[in-house]
Amino acid sequence: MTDTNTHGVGYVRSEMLPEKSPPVGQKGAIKWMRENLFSSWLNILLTVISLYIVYLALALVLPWAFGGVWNAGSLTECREVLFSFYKDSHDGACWAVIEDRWLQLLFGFYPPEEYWRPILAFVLLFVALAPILFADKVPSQLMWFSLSYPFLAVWLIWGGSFWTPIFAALGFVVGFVALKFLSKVTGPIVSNLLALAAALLWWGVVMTPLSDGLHKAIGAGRFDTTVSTLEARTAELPAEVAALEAQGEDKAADIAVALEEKNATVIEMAGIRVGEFAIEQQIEPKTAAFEQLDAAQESISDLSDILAEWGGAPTATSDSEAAIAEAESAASSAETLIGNVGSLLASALSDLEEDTADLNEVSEIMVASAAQDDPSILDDVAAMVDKAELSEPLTDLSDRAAGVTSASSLADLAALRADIETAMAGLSANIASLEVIHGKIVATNADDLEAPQAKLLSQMAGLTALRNDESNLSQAAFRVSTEATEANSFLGALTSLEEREASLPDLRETAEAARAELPRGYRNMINVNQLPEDATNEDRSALSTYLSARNQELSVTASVRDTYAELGRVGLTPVDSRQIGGFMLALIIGVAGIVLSLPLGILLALGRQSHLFFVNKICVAFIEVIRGVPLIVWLITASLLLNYFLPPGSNFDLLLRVIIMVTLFAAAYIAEVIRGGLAALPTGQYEGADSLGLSYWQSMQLIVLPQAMKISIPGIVNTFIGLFKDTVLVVFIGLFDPIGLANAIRADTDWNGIYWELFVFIGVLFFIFCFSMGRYSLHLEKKLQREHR
Amino acid sequence: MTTLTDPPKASFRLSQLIYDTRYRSITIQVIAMILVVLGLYWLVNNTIQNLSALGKDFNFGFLTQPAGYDINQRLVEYTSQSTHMRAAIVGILNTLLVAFLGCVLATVIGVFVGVLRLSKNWVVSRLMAVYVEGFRNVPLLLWIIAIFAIMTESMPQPRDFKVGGDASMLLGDSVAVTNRGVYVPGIVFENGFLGSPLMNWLLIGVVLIACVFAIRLVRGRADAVQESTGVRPTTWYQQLALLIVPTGVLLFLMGAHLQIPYIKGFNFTDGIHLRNSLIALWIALSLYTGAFIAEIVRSGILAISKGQSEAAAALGLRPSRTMNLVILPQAMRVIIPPLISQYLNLTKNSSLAIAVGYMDVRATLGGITINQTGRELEGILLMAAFYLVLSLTISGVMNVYNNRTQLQER
Repeated sequence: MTDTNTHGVGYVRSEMLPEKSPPVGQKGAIKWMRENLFSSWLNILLTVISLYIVYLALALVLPWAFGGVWNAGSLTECREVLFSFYKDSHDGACWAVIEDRWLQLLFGFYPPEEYWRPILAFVLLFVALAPILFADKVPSQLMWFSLSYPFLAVWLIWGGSFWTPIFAALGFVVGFVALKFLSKVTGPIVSNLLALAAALLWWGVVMTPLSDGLHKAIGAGRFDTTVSTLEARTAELPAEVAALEAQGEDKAADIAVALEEKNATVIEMAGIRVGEFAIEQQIEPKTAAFEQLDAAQESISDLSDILAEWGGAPTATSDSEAAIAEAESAASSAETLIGNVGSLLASALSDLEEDTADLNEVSEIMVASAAQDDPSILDDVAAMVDKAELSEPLTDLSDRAAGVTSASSLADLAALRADIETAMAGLSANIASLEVIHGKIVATNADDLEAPQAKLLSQMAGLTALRNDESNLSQAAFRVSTEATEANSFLGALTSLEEREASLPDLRETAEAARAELPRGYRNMINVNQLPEDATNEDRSALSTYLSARNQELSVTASVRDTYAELGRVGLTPVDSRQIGGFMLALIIGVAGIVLSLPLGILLALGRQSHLFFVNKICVAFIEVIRGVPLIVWLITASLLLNYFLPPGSNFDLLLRVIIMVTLFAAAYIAEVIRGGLAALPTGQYEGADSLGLSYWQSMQLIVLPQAMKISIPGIVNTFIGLFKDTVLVVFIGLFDPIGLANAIRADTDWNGIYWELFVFIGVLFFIFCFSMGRYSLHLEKKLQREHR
Repeated sequence: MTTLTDPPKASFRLSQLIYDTRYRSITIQVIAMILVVLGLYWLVNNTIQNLSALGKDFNFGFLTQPAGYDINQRLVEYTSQSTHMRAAIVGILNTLLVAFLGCVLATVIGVFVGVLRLSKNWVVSRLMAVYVEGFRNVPLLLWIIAIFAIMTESMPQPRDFKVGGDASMLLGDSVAVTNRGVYVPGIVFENGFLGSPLMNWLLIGVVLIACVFAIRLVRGRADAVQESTGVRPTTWYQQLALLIVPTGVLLFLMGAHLQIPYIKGFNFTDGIHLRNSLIALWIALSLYTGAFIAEIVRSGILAISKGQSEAAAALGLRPSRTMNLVILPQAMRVIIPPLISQYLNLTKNSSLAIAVGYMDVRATLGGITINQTGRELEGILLMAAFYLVLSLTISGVMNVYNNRTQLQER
């Protein structure tokens, strides 16, 4: 059998034919397109519509984005530059606003010399996230850094002495150690409660005095040196300020010169383009007049329709009310149309006569400017007709239109309409010839303009550089003068420190004595308002004496404490929460919310699944109430109401309140997501864990939660994305998030009227963050996928 | 032989409260209760102290005082002399209005985009993906402000619609899109049976609902006939007549006709004026929520395994019947719960009306009323209660639906 071929059967091939390539329509791009884009009529239609939409969007956005202006000091200057390039302000973006304000949009009013702190915190955020996000690629020891990162980041952003975050972290250590120790001695409930109490004790009672004591100890040692350095500094600072201000003035003078140069260029360009403008002034009123005439002839046509229908002026054909009403309405619309015709013709005439410049002037301008490059323009200009030639027939038409009544014959109306159309034809021919001239002038000017355009751009760049220098100088001057005032007031505080400290015991005694004089029931009051209606005047005055004494004592104590905190600080300059803004604020709220809401959400979800009746009901109530009300209402609650719910006199940072609210809000949503994951887990998993004899927490930690969390990843990440996007809502309670800053920038006279550039910048920033979070969740989902589909 | 003695009596010891699982749960719950009650007491006590320190009390009397401010967008009668209560109702109705409009449009957009995103057509599915990702990853507030800016900055002024102006009206000269808002034709009743237009609309609504019930009755009878005889009577013309005739007759009797807006002076009169704030909020909410709904629809359709449609085909069902009888009923079970939670989100997000000055419940009750009366606590409580009741009602309905459609496991 094997040698069949060697014997040679004539009709059997001995070698393979070379493979033929498939038909053109069945391979490569064409096949793909046929299958995917043009498989049916509906599909073809969809493809065409989609491509058209894409084209429209790109044609709108790309020239705008890439033809934008990057160097300008205000929207007006942007428009100047765009105009010099034959562009409308709609045709080019004014990216200069971003160039000018991007730091503010990112950092808010954070002191510029401290920008490195949030940037460092941001970079370290990724280091801290690495062991969580990419657990398989990073050494697990880095987890310790992740745990300590929150304290580090808070310290970097808000500043203060380096031991404050360490003390705060020590609270957790105290709790942990207490738990380890107590769990050997007592049961889990007691040890948990006691450990919590120990941690709270550390934070509430021990931490602040300890930190104050450190400040005081260090401060006392530094007192003399600080006073002497401060005195030296205050002596030299005014000179520094003056020097900086002088430099700033020099820069301002440079800027003035540069501005003049730029204006000269703009004027030069206007000089080159004067011919265009002259022709445009001819075209515009004529176009307006043309449109009026068109409307007039349409009105006449409508009028003749009515008259033809009624066979003359509309009169009622019978006595019936309906017929009379119909005739009246027809008559009134005829009257309106007649009025329209008259007024339209009159305004067309006035457009032509009053607004059109004299032809002689125009030709003079042409001779002086554009015609030098292209002599043919002169011939065109000579062929232009005088405006009288166009307006004279209109005068006649206008008179005739005034004579139109509802009794006019249809023939008259038709003639009038025809004449108007003739006038329109003349006008449009005139406009067309003017536009030819305009096109020629623009073409000749375009070459002439190239040099000034380039010059303008470089001048704008130079101007921007100068302005940046100047703003840096003025910022430096401001910083130094602030330093001077602060040094002075600090010096004052230092000199009075001893005295204030000495007065404290007296003040305390006075307050105690005033308190002792009060009736027992009134001693805990914080305001005279709280006294009952029938309280005696003596009691009232005694209470107000006590309250003022107490307030004085408190304020002096606080001021002494502040002075020591400043004096004994070893660490970073403190930054106030009010100075934090922009995208950094969104990141702070978002990251804090995400980090804090996840554990809380897990606890709430477990509570909602729990069989303990009260725990279950408390969690359900919390989750439903939080989820049922919009975040904005919670934020307003945080800003307006939280002070009602806290002990009298306490007032804490708005940003912190917002973070707490956002955390609670996100936790309720995450609880629902995780509850879904818990419910999706087969009952066998719970039962299996129970049968192994695991305790509740062990089975949750080892069996249930890892699986439930895996199921809930998409939901959790979606909640995080939602939380991050929702951070912009803080604009409504007066924090300066990116949108709040955009509003502030628009309120500036320089940038009044800017919209899209700011929206695009903010939108793109948010998009980058949210989109990458979403992609990461997809990646994680794939990685944790254990099912084989 | 020792006699069997009773096992030692299990006397209750205090330590069982901690170590015995039978009692431990009680201990935990009692501790939790105590902590919660203490916390609530602390909050309430603080509030009472703070209120008395400020010389304020806690009462809702302000609701009956005249509000003294105007509301430009209203569905019921309201003047500045009306009470704060009335203002709150106007705000609630406005919230419900934009939420309803938004839910309808968002569903249309979402279903459309969700289906198209599954299309094999590469260009279409990419375009839809860009839309979905673009709207899902940028804050809603930004979209609301941007669309408001488009409406106020890029649309023509009403006077451009005058004879000889640049702009023209859409849809047969009946709709005008201007920078002051959109003017659409309104339906007016020349001789309505009831006093206010709202009551007349309610009457029409009641009639419509009655008609729907009548149609169900007809269908039920058809089902019964089919059950007993095997032949289904043709009822479509009865259903159509029931749907159209009563409402049509009612509208005719009321003398309903369209009132088309026209320009008078420098502005439009007649018709319905939809303010920019409403339009921007409505469009932005719909586009934003539509992106989420698109994803829900897409995942709902993808969730039905291929075996289902193959089995249906094996039974000899036509593709359209496969869709109607097999795929959709199963997909709906996946789609509806998240869809309703999106509706809830949209309703809550409508409180962003603050960005464009739309007078919803947050702007009236939670905004101007609070500022004028200084009753933050009461105002915010009422507003939160409104949203809470709304959410709980909707999620209650959703739970009923879920329970009815849930697959029964062991």
